[in-house]
Amino acid sequence: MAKSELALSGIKILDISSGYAGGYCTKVLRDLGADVIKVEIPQIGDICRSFGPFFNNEPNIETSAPHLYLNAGKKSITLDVTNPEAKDIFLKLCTESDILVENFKPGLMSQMGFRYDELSKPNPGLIMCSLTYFGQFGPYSNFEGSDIVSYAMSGYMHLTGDEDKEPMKAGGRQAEYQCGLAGSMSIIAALIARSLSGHGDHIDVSATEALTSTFDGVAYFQTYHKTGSDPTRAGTRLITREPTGAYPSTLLPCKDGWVHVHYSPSNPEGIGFLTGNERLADDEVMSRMREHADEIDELITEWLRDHTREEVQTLAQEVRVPFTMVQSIEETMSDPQNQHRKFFAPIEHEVVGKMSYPTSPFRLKTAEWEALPAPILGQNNHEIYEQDLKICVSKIIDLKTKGVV
Amino acid sequence: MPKSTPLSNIRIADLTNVIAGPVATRILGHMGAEILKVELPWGRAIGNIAMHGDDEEGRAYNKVSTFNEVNRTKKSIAIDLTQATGKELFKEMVSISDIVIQNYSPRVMGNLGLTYEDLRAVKPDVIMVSMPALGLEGPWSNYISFGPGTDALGGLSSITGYKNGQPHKPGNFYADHNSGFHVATGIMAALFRRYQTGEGQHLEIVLREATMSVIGEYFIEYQFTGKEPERIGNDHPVFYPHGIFQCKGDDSWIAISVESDQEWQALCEVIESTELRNDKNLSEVSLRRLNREKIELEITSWTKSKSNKEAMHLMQIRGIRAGMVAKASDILSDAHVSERNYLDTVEHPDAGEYTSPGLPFKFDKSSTNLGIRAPMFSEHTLPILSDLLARDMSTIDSLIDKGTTPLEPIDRVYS
Repeated sequence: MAKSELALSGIKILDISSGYAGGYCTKVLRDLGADVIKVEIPQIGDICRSFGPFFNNEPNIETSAPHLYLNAGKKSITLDVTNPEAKDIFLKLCTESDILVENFKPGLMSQMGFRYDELSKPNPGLIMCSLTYFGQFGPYSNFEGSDIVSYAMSGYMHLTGDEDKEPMKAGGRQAEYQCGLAGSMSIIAALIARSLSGHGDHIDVSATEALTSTFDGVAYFQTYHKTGSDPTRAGTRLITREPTGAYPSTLLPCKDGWVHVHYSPSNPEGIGFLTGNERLADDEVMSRMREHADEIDELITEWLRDHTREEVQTLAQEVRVPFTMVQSIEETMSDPQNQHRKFFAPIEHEVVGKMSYPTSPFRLKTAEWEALPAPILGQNNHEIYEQDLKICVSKIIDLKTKGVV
Repeated sequence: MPKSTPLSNIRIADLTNVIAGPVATRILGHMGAEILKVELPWGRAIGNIAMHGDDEEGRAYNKVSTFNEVNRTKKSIAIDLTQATGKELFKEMVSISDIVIQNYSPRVMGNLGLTYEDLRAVKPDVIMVSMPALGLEGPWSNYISFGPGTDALGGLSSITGYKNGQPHKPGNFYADHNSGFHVATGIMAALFRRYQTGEGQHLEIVLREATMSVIGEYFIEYQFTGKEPERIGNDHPVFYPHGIFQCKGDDSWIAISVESDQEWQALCEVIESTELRNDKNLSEVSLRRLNREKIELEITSWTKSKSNKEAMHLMQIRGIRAGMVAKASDILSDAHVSERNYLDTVEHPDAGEYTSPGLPFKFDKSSTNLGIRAPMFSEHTLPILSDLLARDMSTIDSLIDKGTTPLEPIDRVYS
């Protein structure tokens, strides 16, 4: 099915950001059909290219796992936008784009003469999205950030980890991914607003706020106001500790690994039925489930001990009890559901060869996800500079020698 | 020119429950869409996994914190969709809406006779959104799971955990929120396309697929190494020091990540450790890693003498990436959060005043709807029936009498 079937077909994105947040932001937009041009620093490229792990364990800007994942299907040109000699080209690219994504520290775009007001003069429909750790204004806007720092400042770290141990970060880079996702979400809202008003917008996304936004519905602030004490981490259990709250929701060990066990409000007696343990359906336990958490864990574990993860999942799901396996990365890639849905797709890349990639949660039944590799650094220089922008070859050679392109 | 909200002319018929679905429509409500939340006649399904719902005066269902946070901006109508008249009302509501969203397990909509095809018959350009845990099709499609269960099935639990520890998970309902935000994104993309082409669609966004998408690089890493990624707690595969350090006070910590040798030098100066600064054996990250104990002792001896806020400011002045491990009370009293007007505080007739997270982004030229509380149970049933669905008073009375559109929750009948 043609790409024109997709939601954002024809939308042009200029991505001068570097790193995971911008990478995920424009990956989402690309998966939804937009054309993304990544503008990368000559020689070095996006910072994700310098993070490993690398193919064959040899550092190479073309073979870093996060780069291959996040930038699949995008185009790459090299341009050092911080170099004054790049200004004309950059402004030209901006006039031909619907969306500009950047993640410089607040104030830097203005210093370079790239305030939104300036950039949107020749292109009033331009949507500029600024992704940072703490936002464009406010006392921390000039703070130095990183994924772990945002994870800490967002409040999430205090809620992750064991009660008797230090707070812990979730795996991966969730602050940066949520920042990118908030970017894609707001950019599409701005595109809708533009269809109605004709004007673009400048969007301010903070990674820290993006992560705090995931506390909606956990009574995070309300608990503090009502009890005077801060919600805190509770191991693999949920952070709510009301004695009458529902339970279980936790990870427990079984015969060959771990499973996630969860209470089902529409099948309250299901766990008792599944395990054959009457105590788990007893009124005393059911009326104050969270208070009985240790006992519930113990009773369920007794049953789990004799079953493998797969048995647990199958037996539980047969009786509508939402127990699920903890799967490794390898198991996740090859499980029957992911196989059936073809969530992973093969992509051939000229350096790493054929690998299996996660596709996208935004796939249409009518259109296959377009499985294209991440670009080689500067792969589209000729196409964009010479064919699209009609810049003469000698000028490009000159800019190359100066390290601008 | 006055600013307007991006979705001011959009109406959504919202059948979602619990967290992931309501989070998605809450975002769209902030963007100006009118959200008609269709509630189950027996009240709020998340009552029993929520907090502070107990109440002696009655109407506890209006005081469920979880519900009241994720359903801000919405209107509530209770409809019994198992009754034929209830189904008709719902279809009529769909005929004047732009979007229908539901997060039931895959069989439910079919059983109710409310599939995409059924709804398209009453509203040809409808955008219908399904958000199953594992997919509408496939061998596990009928498995039920809440968000945290998809962390487990999707690999996130496997890569989260202390060094040498068991699989773990982010606190809260990370997968629910993550998928809710993906769904809000997908819905707006489908709306944007409808503006271009006039066509609706059936959009399926799978909870677990949203989870796998935010750890995508690990799947490629596995193919490079043939080994499962190790759980590394607060460590970083490249940078060191990278982690959290204890500060003065109860359960008080600061996160620090040093990403260059210059930052390392600055750190040594801030913590006034000439020993670390002058140690040539520590000038490179690979060497620093071999001396963890010594370095962590030195940093901690400094951080322990400071509050985490003080330590953060002292480090940030010198350009070091450092941030307090914030608690709810820190965020509520934070000058940055307050200047950015991030939090959303609303007043609710039954639940009182409550504060929730705001939007994760700010527009310059569009406005957003904040400060609008969650509805009370069935609060908007009467105006929706009379104004939107043009029912007269006697019809409305009969609908209420028959429990088709109850004004108070009725006892749940398990079928």
